[in-house]
Amino acid sequence: MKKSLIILMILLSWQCEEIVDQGLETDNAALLVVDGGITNEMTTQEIQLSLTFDNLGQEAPPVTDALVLINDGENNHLFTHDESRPGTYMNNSLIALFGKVYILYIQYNGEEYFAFATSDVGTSLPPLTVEETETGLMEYIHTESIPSMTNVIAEWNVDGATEVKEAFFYTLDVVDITKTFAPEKEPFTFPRGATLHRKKYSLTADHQNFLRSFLAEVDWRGGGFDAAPGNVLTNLSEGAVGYFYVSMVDSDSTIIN
Amino acid sequence: MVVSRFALLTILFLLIAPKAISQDVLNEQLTLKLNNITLKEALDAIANETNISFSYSTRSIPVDQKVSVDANNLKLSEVLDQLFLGLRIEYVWLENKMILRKSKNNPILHEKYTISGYVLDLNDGETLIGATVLVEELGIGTIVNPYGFYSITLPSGNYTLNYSYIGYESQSKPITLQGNMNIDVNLEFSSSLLQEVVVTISDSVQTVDNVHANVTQLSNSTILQKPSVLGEPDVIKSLDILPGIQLFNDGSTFFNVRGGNRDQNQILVDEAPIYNPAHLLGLFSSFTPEAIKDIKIYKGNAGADFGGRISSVMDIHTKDGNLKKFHMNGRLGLVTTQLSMEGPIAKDRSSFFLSGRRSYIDAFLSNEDFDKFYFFDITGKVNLKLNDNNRLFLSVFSSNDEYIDNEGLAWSNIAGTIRWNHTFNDRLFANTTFYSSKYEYKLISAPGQVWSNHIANASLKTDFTFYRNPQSTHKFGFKLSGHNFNPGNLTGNDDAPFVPKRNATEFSLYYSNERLLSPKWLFTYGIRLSTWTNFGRTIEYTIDEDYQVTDTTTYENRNSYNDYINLEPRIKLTHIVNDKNFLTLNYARSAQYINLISNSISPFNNLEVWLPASINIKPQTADQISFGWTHKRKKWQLNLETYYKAMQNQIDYANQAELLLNPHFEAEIRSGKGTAYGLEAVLSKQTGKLTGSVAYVLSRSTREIEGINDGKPFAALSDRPVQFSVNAAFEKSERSNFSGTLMILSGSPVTTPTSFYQYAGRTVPIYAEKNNDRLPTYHRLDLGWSYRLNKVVRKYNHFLTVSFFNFYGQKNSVLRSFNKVVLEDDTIVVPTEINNPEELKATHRFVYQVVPSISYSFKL
Repeated sequence: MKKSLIILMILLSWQCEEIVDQGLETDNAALLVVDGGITNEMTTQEIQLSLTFDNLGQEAPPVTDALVLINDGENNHLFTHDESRPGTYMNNSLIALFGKVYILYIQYNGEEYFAFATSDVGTSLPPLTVEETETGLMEYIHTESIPSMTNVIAEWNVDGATEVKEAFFYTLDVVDITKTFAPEKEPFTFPRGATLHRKKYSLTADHQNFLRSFLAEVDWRGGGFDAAPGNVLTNLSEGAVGYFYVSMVDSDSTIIN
Repeated sequence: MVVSRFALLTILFLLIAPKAISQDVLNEQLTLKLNNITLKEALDAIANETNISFSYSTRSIPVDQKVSVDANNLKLSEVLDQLFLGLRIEYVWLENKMILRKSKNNPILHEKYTISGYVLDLNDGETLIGATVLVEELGIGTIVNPYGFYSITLPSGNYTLNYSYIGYESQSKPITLQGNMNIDVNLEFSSSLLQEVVVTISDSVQTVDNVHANVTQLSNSTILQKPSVLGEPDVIKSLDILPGIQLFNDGSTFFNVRGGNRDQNQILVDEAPIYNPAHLLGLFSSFTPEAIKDIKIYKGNAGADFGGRISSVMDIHTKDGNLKKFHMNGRLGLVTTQLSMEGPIAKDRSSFFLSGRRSYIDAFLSNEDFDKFYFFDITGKVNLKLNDNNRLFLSVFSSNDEYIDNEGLAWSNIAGTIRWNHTFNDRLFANTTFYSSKYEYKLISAPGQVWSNHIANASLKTDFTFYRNPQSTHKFGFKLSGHNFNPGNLTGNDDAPFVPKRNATEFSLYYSNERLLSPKWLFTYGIRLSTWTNFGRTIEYTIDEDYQVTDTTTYENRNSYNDYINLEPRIKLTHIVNDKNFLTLNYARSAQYINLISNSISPFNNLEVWLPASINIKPQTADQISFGWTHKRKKWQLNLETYYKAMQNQIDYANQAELLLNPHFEAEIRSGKGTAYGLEAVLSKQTGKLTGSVAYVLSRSTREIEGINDGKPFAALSDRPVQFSVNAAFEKSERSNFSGTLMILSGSPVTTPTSFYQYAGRTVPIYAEKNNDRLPTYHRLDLGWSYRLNKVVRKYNHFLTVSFFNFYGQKNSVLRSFNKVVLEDDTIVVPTEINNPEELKATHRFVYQVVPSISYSFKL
């Protein structure tokens, strides 16, 4: 955000923000949540399943006894549950191809859920940009301009133990006042010497729409220019929430010196 | 022959003599002053003075009727004419007695003459809109129209005309009406420079014309006196003390009237519409109070001459400029500086007014920080009195906000008006207005890449007022408008989608008649016929019942392709129960063809997109019925009014609607019905050292829209069930004035999560019901003190104003969110880390704590 907007925000922000006690009505509805997708990487594909929960700060209850498979138009690819990570379903044989339509099928608790997805063409990562902060830590600066989702993982050693930090950064082709005046976000910092792994996912228009609604609720809300709250879009059937995607991926790793 | 001559003379004498004697009696000079006594007492008094006796039947003559006579050396016939005026009594001299009997003729139906003219401020020649002209003898009167003109037609006779206007010395003018008369009256301002009047409900004169339960008049002194944020007097924010009008929240110029949406309020400046009167995102409104002469706010039936919005009309008239001498005033506040000047161009014939205000926040910022960071507004007017029958007004209003470096925001309102007042004769007045208005918003997202939208229009309208007689006033006229809409497009980016621009014409005709059915009943009825036509060049999309776009149609340049027509009846019935109690019943149907497309819940103004009714958006309509009771005492007044409003084709939006740069945004729109009802009470005291009002409102407002909230009714954003306000001003001395406002208001509805889920390491809310919750009750106390620095009023007067907005620092919530964490340094941010994030907290934003301010102003 540029300085004039920052100044404007400061002027408005003798408007202040503070924590409040807010009791919430709860609906006790346990909906199936699907989080994940497949990529063109030769790696383990993962789908996470969980249930909705009532209270802020609560852990998401994992779904461990579902049947999960993906159909690529020719074959069904079964995903098996990883007992070490409850709610995570894995497949080692599936590689997503550009232009192909994939169907996610989930059977859980007597219900059948579907989602359709395809991918857009992948693009290369832009040059990495990091800046040193006043505290001497390095900060990742997201400079991507093509609509995409970027996963960034920073790894470094502290006394022989590996520290890991992970975040997603999004670039969407939308004009939205809530995005322009989004609230301040925690900086993504790490020490010099850390290894930064970047993975850029391509987005279809539908996936971008989903992410716009997702970010409107989790990133852009509370900036002072909020839109009416609304449920995040989904491509899941039967009342399930979340999103199943197919992406082309470009990735790199860099040691930050 | 002699006999016959004698007989003839005798007959002639018998015929002529009584007539001659009668003439002698009726020409007898008389000096008499009788005030508010019964007719019987008056007749006895005249009998004592003249030694004549009256003969009458008490069954046919209303002897208990209160009458007044003011005769100074008048003939008896003139005194009797004055006495019997309006009483349907005729008299004849017979057998040495004055015989009185009931007249078969209505005295009002013959020998009528018209008194017309302007009511003006003695000092500066400004017209006094809403002043009253009362004929004391008849208890009837009229109201000065928005151009200062009045007209009243009466039978010949002697009358006393009483001219009055709140804050001014009343003036009585005895007249002998024997032909049409032109009387311009200059009233003198009665208060000190620190005015005592706070809010005036314009019914101070006991004429039935003047009981307007759903109209409130606001003077610029009210606005200047009310404590305000950073000492910036604010026209829009002063509305929060009025029952039924609720500001959306702190930091906002949005307001809702009687449960309506914010785009349903028509704001007119010298008849031109203004779409977004906000500076600094809404912290201040863009009208300079010093430039304003008169504001009327209609919460319901505004009359057939107004149309285009379904909730309210805010009719602002700017100053015409001093016709007598040059004046200046200025104000130096913490954020802005303001300067106004006015004066005659040719004394008593023409004048000018010019006012400007600019922020100087940028003076404290480094040039490296920004390219532009300011707001300003300008109000100007030239007033030309061409001759007794023609006046011309040229006015302009412009407001601009620019906050830009490489990125930024900018918006502007501009309106220009040419008005021509023409009096065809003493009873027919016409005003013709041509105006053009434009509102534009820009978001600069990168150098050379600008998203902008606008609404622009040009209109020609003529309004006629025919003052047929005191019992009947006719109004009729027409308006023709052309509208152009750009719903928002991006320049500097070839890949951006094109959102089709829209065009429309609007034509309306109206007629209304204000009819005094009896001294106790006034009936005003009217009808407005409005039409709306969309025309090309544009693209329209066909949207099916699942809100999917199924077809695209291109309409060529100037080809009309869609029409709407609406009949809008308006009825008002007023009953004077007695001199203290008035009842009013109002019904109005209204139609609205332009819509603000925004699903924002923020108090701050943002990308305002206006769109016309068209194939996919039907015109909004509303039917409102209200019933009011006004009780007036010498020092205070109580108004109670209850209303019910049914609204059709109300707009809401799909979940997570995408409304910007989306050619198919109409597929995101949902429509349905709205209902609002309430009871408003206001007790006001307008005289004395302590003045003010106490208002209390109970109301509800709901919407029921297909595809929203499972089709179930939900609380509208404007649903604030309880509103309580106290507004007071105390004139401690001529130099020192205290004021205070206490506001208590139900919190606005909000949608809060009912459950959550985890996705991509983030906690995502789920909403089960729209507006299922409510922000905490809003309350605030403002205090102000104004002090004239010079001990006596001189040519140069200067003032110091100190105010404390939100005196006890209440943190009123404007927004709530559930997506933030608190870092070690106590900053509240959206988390980035997805594996081990801090625990999310519920947070709220508030705009103000206590805001002290000081400002200096002068009048020269």
